[in-house]
Amino acid sequence: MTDTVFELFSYGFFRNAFLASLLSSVACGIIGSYIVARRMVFISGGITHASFGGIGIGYFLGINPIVGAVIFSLLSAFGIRLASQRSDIREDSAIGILWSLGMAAGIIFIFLTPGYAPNLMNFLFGSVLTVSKTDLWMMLALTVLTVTFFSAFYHTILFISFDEEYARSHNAPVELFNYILLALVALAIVLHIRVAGIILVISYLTIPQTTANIFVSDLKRIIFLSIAISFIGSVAGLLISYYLNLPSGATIIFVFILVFAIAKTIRSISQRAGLKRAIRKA
Amino acid sequence: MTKLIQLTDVSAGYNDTIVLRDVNFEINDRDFIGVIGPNGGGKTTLIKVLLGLLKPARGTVTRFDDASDGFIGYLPQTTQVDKKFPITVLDIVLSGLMSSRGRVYRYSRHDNDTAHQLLAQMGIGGLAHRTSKELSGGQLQRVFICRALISNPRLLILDEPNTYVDNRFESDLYERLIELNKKMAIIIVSHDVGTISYYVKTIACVNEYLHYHRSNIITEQQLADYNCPLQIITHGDVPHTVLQKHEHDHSHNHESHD
Repeated sequence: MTDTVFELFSYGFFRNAFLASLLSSVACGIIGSYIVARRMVFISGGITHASFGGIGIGYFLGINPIVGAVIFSLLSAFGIRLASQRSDIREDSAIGILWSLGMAAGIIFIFLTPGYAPNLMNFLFGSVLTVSKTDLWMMLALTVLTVTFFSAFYHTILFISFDEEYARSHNAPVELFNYILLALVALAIVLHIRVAGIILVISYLTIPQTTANIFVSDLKRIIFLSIAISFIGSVAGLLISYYLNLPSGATIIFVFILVFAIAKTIRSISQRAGLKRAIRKA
Repeated sequence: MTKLIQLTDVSAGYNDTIVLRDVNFEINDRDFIGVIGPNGGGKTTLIKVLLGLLKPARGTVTRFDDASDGFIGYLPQTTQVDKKFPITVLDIVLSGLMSSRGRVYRYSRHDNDTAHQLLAQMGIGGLAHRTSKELSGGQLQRVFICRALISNPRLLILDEPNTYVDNRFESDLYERLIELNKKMAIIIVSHDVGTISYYVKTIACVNEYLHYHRSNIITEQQLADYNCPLQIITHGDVPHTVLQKHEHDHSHNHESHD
């Protein structure tokens, strides 16, 4: 436990964890900023938990649980949208139903699976220290896809998100973009379940972005600042968890929240000081 | 006169409720039309049909679109957007070029300059790099007017533009609309019938059916004949009228308009 940070990089698992933090910061920085900007935190929570059903079926059928989770997350994401558009069910109610359906399916299928599901806890709580090469490749693919899509269509995404009806009056492909972005949200959630776990994945998609939004309020700047906050927070959390022998996922989230609290305090103090200065000047 | 949009036998509504019935209506270049009528009478539905946001249940909408930059400039009611959405004023204005710049387009220096000029004309030139949550309702309304104008549209549609605007800017706005009307047709939806009838050229009364009145002078008797009951109260130069629906007892306090 006395390895220097430099020595830590000689361990394969640590290098993988470091790369996973880097990739997740970029992908979650972008997707999370979109989620926070469009107030989609609750639907993201629903997709996350619904995907547990896919993990359970994956175990039961003996296939990679992540594949099951991808299918479940996409189906639930589109299901929530279709249910709220095409029927009388309101969106938050649809989320509540699919959220619990996924969890219930997951529990039943894992119960039916013979033997012990060895890394079930990893899916619930995540473990950045055990990410595999395959996980890293999938995360890299998602990151490249997300960066490409957002840099090519940034303004269209921004305008549709801000005012859908106005975008529609300009013949923008609103529904197509909404579905592509919803699919990216679902994929980002599933691929980061390995890192952060079902219970904590929402933190990667909301806390750094909300922290960034304290200082900047333009989508592009929120994206860049939240990537930085997320990367620094994940690496700091990783090191703290290693030296204090704590679970990595939960430690990283505590670091995120600490950074958020410090940022909020700094902002409040500087705003108050600014107000006083303005009063004195008047 | 160049025809811009023609509605032929249009009926439109939501789910199983018909809101507009058998509407025949045409908009020509340089028209300045005030759209009036009781709440729920179909004013906004008419706008949605004109914008192509709502497909009519029956009838046809023909747009004589000459592929100009943006055919229609549209000012929605400000209440429909999330004011805390992270977007800059400059980007909101540039979004008015969405249909003419393609999906991957990055806005040119010329587009940016045009946006800055429009903001300056609206008296909010200093706000270009602020974000929407820092603006008052009236300021956001002006930003939306810039967004509607940046594409240099043939037709400008304003849905209740006087909701958030203070009195001084309101008369500024109407004077500016008269200027703009030299270049484009304008449709303005308003519940403040008295004020708009002072500026518009013609009046469309919408209450399920549309009655087109080819003058800006209208009497209570004519409004009643159009099934669009209005009470007109005149104060000096600007006639002031108050809308009134048949069925319900109107709770507005008319003394306050003195």
